[in-house]
Amino acid sequence: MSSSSTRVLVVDDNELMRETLIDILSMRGIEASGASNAADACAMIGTTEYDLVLLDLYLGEITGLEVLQDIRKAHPDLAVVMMSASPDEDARHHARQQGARAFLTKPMDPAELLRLTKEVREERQAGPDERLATGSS
Amino acid sequence: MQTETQTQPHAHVLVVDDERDVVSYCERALARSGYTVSSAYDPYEALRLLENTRVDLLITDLRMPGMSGLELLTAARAHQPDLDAVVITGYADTIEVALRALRSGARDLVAKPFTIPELSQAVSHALEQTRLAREHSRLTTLMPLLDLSLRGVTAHNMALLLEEGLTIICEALGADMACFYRWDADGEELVFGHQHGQGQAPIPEPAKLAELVLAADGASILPDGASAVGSAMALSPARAPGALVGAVLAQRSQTPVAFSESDLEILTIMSNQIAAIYENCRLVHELETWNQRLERRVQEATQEVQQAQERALRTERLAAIGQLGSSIAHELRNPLGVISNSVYYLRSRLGNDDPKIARHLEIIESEVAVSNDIITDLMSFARVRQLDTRPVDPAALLRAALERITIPPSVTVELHAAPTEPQVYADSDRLLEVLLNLISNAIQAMPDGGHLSLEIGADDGHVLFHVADTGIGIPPDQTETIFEPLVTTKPRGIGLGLSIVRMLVEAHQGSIHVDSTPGQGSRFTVRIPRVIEEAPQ
Repeated sequence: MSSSSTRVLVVDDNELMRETLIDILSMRGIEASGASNAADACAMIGTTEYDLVLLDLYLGEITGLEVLQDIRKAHPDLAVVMMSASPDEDARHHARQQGARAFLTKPMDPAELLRLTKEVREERQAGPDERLATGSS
Repeated sequence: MQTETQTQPHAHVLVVDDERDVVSYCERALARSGYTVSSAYDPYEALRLLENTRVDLLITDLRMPGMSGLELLTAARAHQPDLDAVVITGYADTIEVALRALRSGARDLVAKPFTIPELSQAVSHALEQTRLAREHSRLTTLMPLLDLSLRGVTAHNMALLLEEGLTIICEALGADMACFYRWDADGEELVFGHQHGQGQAPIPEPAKLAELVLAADGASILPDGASAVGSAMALSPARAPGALVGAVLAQRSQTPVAFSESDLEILTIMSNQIAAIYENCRLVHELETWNQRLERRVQEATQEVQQAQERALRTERLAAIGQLGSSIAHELRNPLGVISNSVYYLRSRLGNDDPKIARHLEIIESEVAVSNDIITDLMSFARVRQLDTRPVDPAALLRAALERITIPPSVTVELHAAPTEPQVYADSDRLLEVLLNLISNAIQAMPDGGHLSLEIGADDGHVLFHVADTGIGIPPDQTETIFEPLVTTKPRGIGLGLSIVRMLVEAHQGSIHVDSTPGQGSRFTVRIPRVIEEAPQ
């Protein structure tokens, strides 16, 4: 596994949400980039190796859950954290079933996002065996 | 001396004459015509016979030793008041004598010597007259009762109708007292119903009367032993179609003349009329009772439906507010999220440099949190979540709520919650939400301090949570509206707390109400069904 910096993709149609999250992540030395829709997000995931994708539940026409499904199929090792402005119990349940690592409700605590990012990065550096053992939560 | 005829008897006649030839002549002639004939050779023998035997017609000689035929008739009527007579006049009797006989109540006269056809005609004429007179008198007697029966169909004052019926019986029979008895509800005992007038002789026990009534088809004279000396008593079953309703007892004590056969017939008919009136009355009363019960049930059901409709309407309104609120809340959470991200960023970069900047970031953060709480309230309207109910200890729940809230030093707290209270079926998270809301409201109502009292009580089927404060109170016109959404008495807040509280309480099949005096404080009471057999829903 590469020893380059941690990479996080923020997928949200709200531009300011993307901007503020990217700034917070960057402030901690994380390489963060943003996508405003599902197509861009999938294209970027196809070309860049990310440690974590932060995915909003509502992305306009395509829901975050569908994107989650696509990502999990193409990149089963990639950690996905969902975020939403509503405490939708059903969506939370589905997201977990489809392998989302966590579900954050807006307004979220950025410290929690940073903690999750650090955790994923550490797992990936520890090696594939351990990742398999803990990555299915 | 008595002679029975072998032909079919249809009337019983008594022949009295001191001339034996005349008696036997009459006996033979009348027997041949089919009458039952008794005979006597002197008036005293005739009276003795009349004491025990009822006859339809007296045929008496006018002149007899010791007592005239007319005197005999008068004496005989003491035993049998409706007795009629044919008087036999002698050769020496004048027209004047004959007229006196007719005025005294003789139906007809035959003058000696008479032929058999003359006698037969006089007897049959007299019997026919008697029959007509009886029928007429019976009809006359029954008229008032018929009238009463007709009124009984529409009037239902039982005591009044019985009083009138028994009065008519007394008048018709010349009785001093008439008494109605009815079978009790189980049909086992005869019990006193109503009495008109006063008798002087003691009345047999109802149990004895019941025995006699059950043995009788119609009215009968009370036998010796049941009837006291110096009075005449008759007892009749009172039958309505299909039922022996009770009995009527009549007593003559002023003039204790025995009841005649026709008296008994009248008593039977009247008793049955009274039975019909009584039964009609009783059924009408029963019907009225059922009607009232039915009406009450309908009222209750209507009320229930109204309450259910009100609740449904309220729930619908709340759901509408919830939907709108939820979408607004969702839209607000994104900008709030952005603000909170920015604050985090700024605090990380500048927070440690300048205490003033740190303070302002803290203010923004706390206001974001307050805004988010309002949004959470608003969104909980749209959360139609099934309650997860299980037995919950109300005392433990109240203590848990108290622990979660920071009580200002100026507020004293009093807790009455014995651990032995009955449990309630509740979703503990949602019921805790209710208590938290009420307690924090109470504290907010006492900005200058005061006393907070938390108490658990119980009534039939419910556990009661009381949350009382000594705060500003609620104006009387607002004690109902405060439970409506978007109504608040607080300077801050959008007024969702209490409407959510009520929604949650009602979801538990419970209710909430408030007693409040402005300037003195408020007391909220939440009633939740206690655990008895099975959980609601």
